[in-house]
Amino acid sequence: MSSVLEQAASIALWALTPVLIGLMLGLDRVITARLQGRKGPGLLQSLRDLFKLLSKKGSYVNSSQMAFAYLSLALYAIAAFVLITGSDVMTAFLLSGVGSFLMVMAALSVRSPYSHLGAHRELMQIMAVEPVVMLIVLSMGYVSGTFLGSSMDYVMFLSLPLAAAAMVPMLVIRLEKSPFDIATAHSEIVSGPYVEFSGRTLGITKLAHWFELAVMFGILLLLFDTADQALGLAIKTVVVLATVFIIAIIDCSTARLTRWSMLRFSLIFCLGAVALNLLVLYIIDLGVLG
Amino acid sequence: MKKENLARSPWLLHFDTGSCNGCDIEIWALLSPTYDLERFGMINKGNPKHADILLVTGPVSLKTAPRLRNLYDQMPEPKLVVACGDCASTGSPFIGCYNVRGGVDKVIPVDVYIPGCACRPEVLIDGAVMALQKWREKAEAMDREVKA
Repeated sequence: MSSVLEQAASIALWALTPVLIGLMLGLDRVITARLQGRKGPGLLQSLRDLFKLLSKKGSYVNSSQMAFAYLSLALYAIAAFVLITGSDVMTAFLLSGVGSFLMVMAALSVRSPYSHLGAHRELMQIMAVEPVVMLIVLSMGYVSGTFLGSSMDYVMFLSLPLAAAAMVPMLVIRLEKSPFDIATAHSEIVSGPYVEFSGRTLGITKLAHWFELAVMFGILLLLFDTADQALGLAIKTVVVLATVFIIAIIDCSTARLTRWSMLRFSLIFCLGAVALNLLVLYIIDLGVLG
Repeated sequence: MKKENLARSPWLLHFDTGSCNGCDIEIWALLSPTYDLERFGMINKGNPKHADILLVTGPVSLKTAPRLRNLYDQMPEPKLVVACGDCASTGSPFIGCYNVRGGVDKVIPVDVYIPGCACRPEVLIDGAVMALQKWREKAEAMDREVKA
């Protein structure tokens, strides 16, 4: 009976995901404004933006652009559902990866050169993020012996601290924050892959992006899972708030870097950190140190 | 509820149709911490397809008139046009010049005219708030159209 209740609770949580991510992005905007000495918008601003976009008239260039955007939303939403209901983390991660590629396809299906430039940069971002997150998910599987999210019920952060640290730059990239706001680069290529979306269609891509963020934050939070539900919820809330604060500080204190420096940073330092973490765990498991 | 969301999240597009840059500097001042337009939910978007309010500065020259029309046509409904400053409102002091069409309303419909040379940031905020009132009316008209 309790498992049925748990499933119902996780489905409700999945339905609330856009609201939670919207509030988190609103908090991010409030913190950013305060750091820049401004009053800034309210906590609900990102949600208001989404509702406004969804209530506007949409326009699209051709039907394949529209189809790719909807498919991407569907895949991200399924990925978030798989992760939140405690199923296979690797499946969720791969589905969300396919969602990213479909968004790139949507950007490539129109003729605007800015959209193409944005799509190519988005591909570079995917190249920077996917290997690192893939290794993080693999090492979570190594530590817990399973990819089932519901079976990972102890604090993996204690054995994988560097994986949690490597997730922060990955979230900076996926949140399109400076120094790695390569694809959407405002004042340079306007909004990259989203340049040809408008009104309601732009709202759909925004919603898709929020579900993707839910998957990324979900993978980070799995590292802080505990057997005690209440304690776990408290820890996870603190982790999300701390991550948003750190990312806002990074965003405000850095200028945009080139896509090559993003690739170098991600594939050398972040991938290296996770690999080092995994190597140390492996050596400990071999019993060399004991 | 729906109209409140509309009115509290207007995204701006700024286009210079041949201004002396006086009004443009005042518009950029709106984004600075002193005036902080983002507290009303307004963000400057460099893309007509994402924008809700078009801020135009300067008299419309013959070269920029088709570009202005193009930008206006790309914006999704409901949309608003704000003519910022005397030149954008009427074309003065360039009325009758060989290369100038006149005010913005000679090319596209204008919702709010903001006076001043250059227009002050405080008046620009006032104008944007007036524009939001008109936006509510437009959104209601759009709803009625959908229902009919």
